[in-house]
Amino acid sequence: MNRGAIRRALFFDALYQVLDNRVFRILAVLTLVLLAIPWLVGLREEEVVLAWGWRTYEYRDLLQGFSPLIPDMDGSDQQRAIAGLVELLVTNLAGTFGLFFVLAATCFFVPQMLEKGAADPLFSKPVSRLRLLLARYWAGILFVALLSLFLMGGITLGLLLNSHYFDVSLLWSGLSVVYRFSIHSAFATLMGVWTRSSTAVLLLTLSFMGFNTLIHNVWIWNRWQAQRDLIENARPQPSGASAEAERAREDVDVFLEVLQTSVSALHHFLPKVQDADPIARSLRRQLEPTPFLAEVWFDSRPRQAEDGKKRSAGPRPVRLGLRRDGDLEWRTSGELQVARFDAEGQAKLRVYGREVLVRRVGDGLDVQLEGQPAEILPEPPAGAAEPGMQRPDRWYEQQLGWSAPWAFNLWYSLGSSLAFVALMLGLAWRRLARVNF
Amino acid sequence: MTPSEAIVSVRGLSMAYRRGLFKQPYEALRGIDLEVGRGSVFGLLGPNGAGKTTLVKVLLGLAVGFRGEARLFGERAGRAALRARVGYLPEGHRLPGYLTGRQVLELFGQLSGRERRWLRPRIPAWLERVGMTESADRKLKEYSKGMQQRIGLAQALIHEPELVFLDEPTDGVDPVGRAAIREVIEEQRRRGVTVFLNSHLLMEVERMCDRVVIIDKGRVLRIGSLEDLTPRTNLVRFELEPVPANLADLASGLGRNLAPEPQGFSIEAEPEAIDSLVDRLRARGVSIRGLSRQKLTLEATFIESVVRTDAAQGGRP
Repeated sequence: MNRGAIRRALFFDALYQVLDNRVFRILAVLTLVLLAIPWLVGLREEEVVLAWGWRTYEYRDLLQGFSPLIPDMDGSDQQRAIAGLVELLVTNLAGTFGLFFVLAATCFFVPQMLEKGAADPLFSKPVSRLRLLLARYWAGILFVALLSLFLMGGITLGLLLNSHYFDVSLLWSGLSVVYRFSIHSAFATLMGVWTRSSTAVLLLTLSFMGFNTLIHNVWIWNRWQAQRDLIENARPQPSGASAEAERAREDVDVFLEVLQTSVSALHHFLPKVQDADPIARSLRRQLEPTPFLAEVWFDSRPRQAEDGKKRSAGPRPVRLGLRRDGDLEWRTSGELQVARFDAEGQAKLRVYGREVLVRRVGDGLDVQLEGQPAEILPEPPAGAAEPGMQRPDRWYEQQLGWSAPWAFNLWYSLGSSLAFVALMLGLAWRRLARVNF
Repeated sequence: MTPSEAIVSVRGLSMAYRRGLFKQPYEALRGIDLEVGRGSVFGLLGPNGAGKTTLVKVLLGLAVGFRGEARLFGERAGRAALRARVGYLPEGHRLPGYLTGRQVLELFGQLSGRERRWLRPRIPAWLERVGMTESADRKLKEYSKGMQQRIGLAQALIHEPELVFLDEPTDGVDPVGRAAIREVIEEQRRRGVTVFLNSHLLMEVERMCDRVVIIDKGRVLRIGSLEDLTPRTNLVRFELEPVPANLADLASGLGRNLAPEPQGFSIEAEPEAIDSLVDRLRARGVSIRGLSRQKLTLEATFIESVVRTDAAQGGRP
């Protein structure tokens, strides 16, 4: 028996199934509409050009008009505008609405394979049930991968030709859509084997998406709240307030505690789908050149005093960058700050109310915090949080890192999500192995 | 025939399903024993719900959880690798509608482990044989039922299996197509392929099968060669010119159950009595245009077997 021939047959079967799919064709057209944007809007280094020179705009005008779409990040106006465009097209449109569409388009794959009449000719061939199941699962991923490749390849090419901007790392964003789909599709595969109904699969998968998002958001909110409480409690309290907080902690409802523990357990068990975009952004950062000639992360808290006085809870990381124009740039509570070196080659800054002295030393920066050498952090600091505690989702993304503590570790996120996928497919196979056609 | 020589060997095969809302157990097969040798066309007969399809599905690994022994080519049935040597045309099949007839043959040929290179010259030949050359590049969803049945037959045979299960192969096919399918089955028999034929068209089974098994309620009722199941009877039919008016006098003392017919008569009689009857007719100047000893039809055997079992068990459910 020729296994290569069987593999090829399953691949082409999946491909033909996808290409014949009407929803796939509609999605391909919608993708073309999305693609038209980078082909018509040229985000050049100095200006924005519409329809290959029909109109031109200053970035200042564009960034004002579309400010909600422009991410809060370092880099030039062009880089920020392009990041905003990719966020809009890939994360918001393709990653949210597109995901609903592709789930609707692929949810019938497994139930249809198991329908009376369709299953007999297929399962009577010398191919194991597991292989047939995985072939359908891969067919769905192929479906999304083709669309993502089409979308991201088109955006990359459009940006290159029209905006004269090339960034191969954009392709990671396409991968995040495939990653999210592969997780939901594994759940849909299990439901397909259990229910053998396309409608039931779609409803259950959409419910699962909602439930999963809810659990993670509640967990993130709990962790964010706990961190905020920690910081609040570390601050000097008015007399009596500390005892009151202590009493409040003791009065915590048992039911709520059980609920929180359940949410936490579910968070760790369920796939961390919402981490797909931070993972993609993190991977993109690995490939992107830094916008600074030199940069340093330092902890803006003063070092522990000689008398052993406690430092406030949590690090206060600040990223200090030396821009190509020679200015220093940093952010406090999301606000961009800029300073210049004086004639003596040093710059005096105020960061969170503390005096910081910066000197250029060779290719790097020397940072003194209130007269002492500042504590230099790894780049970017794992688990770092600003004490300003912005929105929970922003805070959560800051906690994530490849070397962060395990609850925020991206390897853990990837591993536990893939383990969930394996569990879903394993259960689906176990059920399928017992089906009498 | 020893079990190792048999292509299909089944001993004490039982299979129970759970069905309905409350998962009531239902015994589809109750201790089937069966052996089928190489190169024969084997008819599998039985009323609806008799267990025919379940038997085939157990042999193909499509039904799991059976008790007893089921072997194909001397090995335990259900192993995926064995199925490379088997072809199957299920009843009421739904082949992928998104593929053309040609692509279906390529897909199922490859799924059976055949290389594209090997299939390339055989696909047009099979399309021609089942009369589908002209529609080969249309998608299956555009096909009529008969056309799908023809492609279904070709997909079951494209990889040149040694054993083929055909479940109602002529279902929905026009008379010309039916003749073509019979020809294909005959050709398979000549090639030494074992064909398992499951059909409600008993005339077809009678024309094509060497051996037949009749099963009902999961049990084997009758099994044997076509001759065994359709024996010759003592009923003899005469075609005469002219038909004499006094038939009863002519046949008196030579047989029983005399029945006049428009062109003659029929009578149950022993061979010696028939000779005497021929002599009497010739002596009266009657021309004998035809004389045939009647066989029991498969239909009669089938109905008789099923009805007798029903009566013994107190009727059908």
